[in-house]
Amino acid sequence: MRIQSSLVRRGMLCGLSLVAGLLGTRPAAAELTLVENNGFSFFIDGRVNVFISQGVGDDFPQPTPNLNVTPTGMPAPQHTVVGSGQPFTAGYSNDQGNASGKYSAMRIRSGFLGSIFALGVKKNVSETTTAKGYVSLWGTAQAFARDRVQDFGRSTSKSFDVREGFVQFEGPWGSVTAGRQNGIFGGISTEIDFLYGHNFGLGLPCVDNYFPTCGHIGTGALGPGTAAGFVYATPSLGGIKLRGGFYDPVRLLGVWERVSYIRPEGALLFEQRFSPTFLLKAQVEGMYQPMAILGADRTDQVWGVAGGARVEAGPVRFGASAFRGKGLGVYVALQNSSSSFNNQTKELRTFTGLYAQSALVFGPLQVSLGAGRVLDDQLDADKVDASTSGLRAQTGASLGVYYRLTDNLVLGADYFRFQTDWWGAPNSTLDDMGNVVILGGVLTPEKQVIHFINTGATFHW
Amino acid sequence: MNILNKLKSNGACLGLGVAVSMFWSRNAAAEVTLVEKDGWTFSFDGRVNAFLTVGQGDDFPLPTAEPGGGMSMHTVMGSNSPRPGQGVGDVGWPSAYQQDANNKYFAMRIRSGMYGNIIGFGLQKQINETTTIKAYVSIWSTIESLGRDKWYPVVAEAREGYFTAAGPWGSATAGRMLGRLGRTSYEIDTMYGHGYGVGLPCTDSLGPACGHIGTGVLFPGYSAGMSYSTPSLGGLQIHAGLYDPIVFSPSSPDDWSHASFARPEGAITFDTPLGQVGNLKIGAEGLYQPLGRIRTDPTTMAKTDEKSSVWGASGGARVEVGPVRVGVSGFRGRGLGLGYALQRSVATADNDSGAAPPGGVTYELRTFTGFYAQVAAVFGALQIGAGFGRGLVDQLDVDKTNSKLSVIHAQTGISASAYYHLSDTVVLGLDYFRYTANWYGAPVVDPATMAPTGDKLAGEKQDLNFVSAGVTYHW
Repeated sequence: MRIQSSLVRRGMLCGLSLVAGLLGTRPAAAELTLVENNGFSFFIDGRVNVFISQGVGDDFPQPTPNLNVTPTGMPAPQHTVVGSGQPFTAGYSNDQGNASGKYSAMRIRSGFLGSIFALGVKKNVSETTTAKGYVSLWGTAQAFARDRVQDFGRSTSKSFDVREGFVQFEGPWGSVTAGRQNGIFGGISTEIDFLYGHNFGLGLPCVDNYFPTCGHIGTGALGPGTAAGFVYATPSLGGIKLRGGFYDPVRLLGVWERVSYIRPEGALLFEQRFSPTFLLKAQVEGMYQPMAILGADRTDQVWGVAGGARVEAGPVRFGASAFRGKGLGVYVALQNSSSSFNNQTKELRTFTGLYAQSALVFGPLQVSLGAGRVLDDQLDADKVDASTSGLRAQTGASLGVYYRLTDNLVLGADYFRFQTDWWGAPNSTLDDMGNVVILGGVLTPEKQVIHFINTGATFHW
Repeated sequence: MNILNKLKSNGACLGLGVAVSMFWSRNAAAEVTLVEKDGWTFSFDGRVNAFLTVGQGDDFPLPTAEPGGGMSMHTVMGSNSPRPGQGVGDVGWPSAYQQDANNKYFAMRIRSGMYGNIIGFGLQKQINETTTIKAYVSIWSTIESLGRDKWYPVVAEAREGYFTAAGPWGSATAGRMLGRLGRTSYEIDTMYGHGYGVGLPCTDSLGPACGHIGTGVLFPGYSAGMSYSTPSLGGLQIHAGLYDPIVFSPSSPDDWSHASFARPEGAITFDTPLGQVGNLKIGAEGLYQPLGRIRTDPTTMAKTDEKSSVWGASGGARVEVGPVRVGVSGFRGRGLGLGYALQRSVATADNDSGAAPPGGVTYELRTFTGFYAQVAAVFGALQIGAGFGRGLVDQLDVDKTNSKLSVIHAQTGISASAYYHLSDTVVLGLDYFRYTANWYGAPVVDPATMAPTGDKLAGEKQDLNFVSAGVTYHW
């Protein structure tokens, strides 16, 4: 929320306030200072939102039947589709499909950001250095899996998720942030989505059951997530800044469990407002995490590189980003999912993401248009694994319209088309001994298309 | 968190008085008053911290091999507990799937300290000339996620939520609050040991960390309760309260799942300045909780009610003279646990059906003992400290014949720490903790008769070293 608020300040407030007279735009709200006492400054920020979200389209696809028969007349091996019964992995797994394999469901849920209540305390600890403590609590409007029993006392309950909790020291020498905070890797793509895409919208619901939604994350944008870490950022040197830090390591559960070393992430960015109506920001990012198998000596590593840029010229906003890396996942860097690795060989798959987002701002009205795709490379082992149809790509196309009724109240309506393509299981049969024989080619690849229409309101401060 | 602030004001500041400029140049921060209106005072306190912890040593020990190199047939107590994986400490220190091929542990984490991130709110009003009521709620969280799973939500925990009425007649508190048993040891660890450090991470999966808790320090834990404290009579105070009862197994009536009565806990404390340069505080605490279970006769299947109780006594003292701080404490009790009072632990009772002795599970409560010593020296903004503590578990008779279980014997901690107060609100911390766990070793039985031979296998052992460095911002 701090970064998001910062983005609001820098991207929306600074970017828009100077041309507010020209374009009639209202600046977004940010920190709200409640009290200044004994050198302490106490502030809050946050938001509450709710959206009606209607999804229509295909249910999670059934595996394409393998119609081959063995020499003895037995049916050939069938397969599973990656993501089946595993939300947040591939496609849109849910429990709302009908007998025809179609999905149509309406929910009233939180948007791209959930309901957030954040508190902070600032104090000057020296003439030039400020210390800030910040904690943000996130919640959602909807119950877990449409089950009110889950509303209390479960790990899926409506307790707050403390997404951020850090101390930040800031001075002319830069800043150091220690605690639970946003990651760096994937930051530019998420920033573009936030600013020009789905800040006050919904986009793709990450999963049918729960959670704040994904916007374009999972279809080209990569969420940096939040983690415990220590991060240093240099001061701006002619618009150039370097951010680098170490984060608490992450396991890929059941496969790459042993993660002995903290994870470095870093970014080099250039941000400059060349005129009141023209801003350019470009950023490259990287991360690396060594991993090992539990109780064994086998090692590997997750790595990723990403980059992107965004520009604001008059009423026009445009951003584009890309990432590539091994073991990353579709939605978020270091995602625990069976799309990230081959369950048998434990090999990590490589992912590529592309995302472009545009927006036009006319006074209180913003119209947004975006498209993105994430690709999951096949491993050699996947090409001869007749038991699985792996994820190939997730593609998103979006349209959003947002209207600021006041500084703090925004109405939003957005559309999101979500398409998932699988590679298709290798065409196969069984020999006389019951061994799998790969015949060449693949069974018809599975595909899922869902359309989401979302409308709601956000109150933020 | 209010406790923490009380400790800060009572201990760190009160005892230093006139010598503040000489030995302690900065006062600790406490709550920040946000608003005073119409007789109401709304205050805010809290902290945010982060530490880099490096741990190295043995992962949870494998069972000692049978004589002649046969396959081990027993369980090492703690390996059968699901709790560490859920972020709740038990006995021993199993990692969250970090052991290498040699069953060694080496891992870095960025995590919260002995106190997590805390935000606390207070609302106070004077209701008559002599009595003030204050409501207080604190929300705790960690910065690390459960088991290095980046996407597991960090769930906020409302550890405290109470109101206190205070006047010349004393004070009465009702709500969710810190218990009494073990409080002196916890206070010593907070003030002279790990208030701004990590110490022993309670579990590899999740914090906040334990400091010396589990190795001689007994954490009182938080419970719903109602308590009364007398006014200070020359430094002497009596504290007594009733707390919501605790059971060890809510799912099985065979275990100690019946706790029909509220639990009394109490303490006597004596707190006095030592001239102009010091402070002395002595505390003695106790608790008692009756328990019940339904016993099923294995032969007739007849059911009968069986009674027992958890009891505990603890105490200690801490003294501050000039730059020197010394604290010592101890506890002993039945059914307590090593880490915190009334701990739901595999060590609390003989209740491990997987390691049932020939006569069946007895559910007998084990007795625990702990002692702890901590020293610190304060030089201006710098505090250095060292501590030693050990928690011990008595063997039950049944443990001496149960060849399927090696019972935890002791957990020992040795610590060293250095903290530097950059300002009133910012503290840098560096600490080292050595953790050793020892098990009794599984009794040996004659394979022909299954009768105990009187011998036992070599007790398992685990040694771990942790080094933690980080920063705390508090207000």
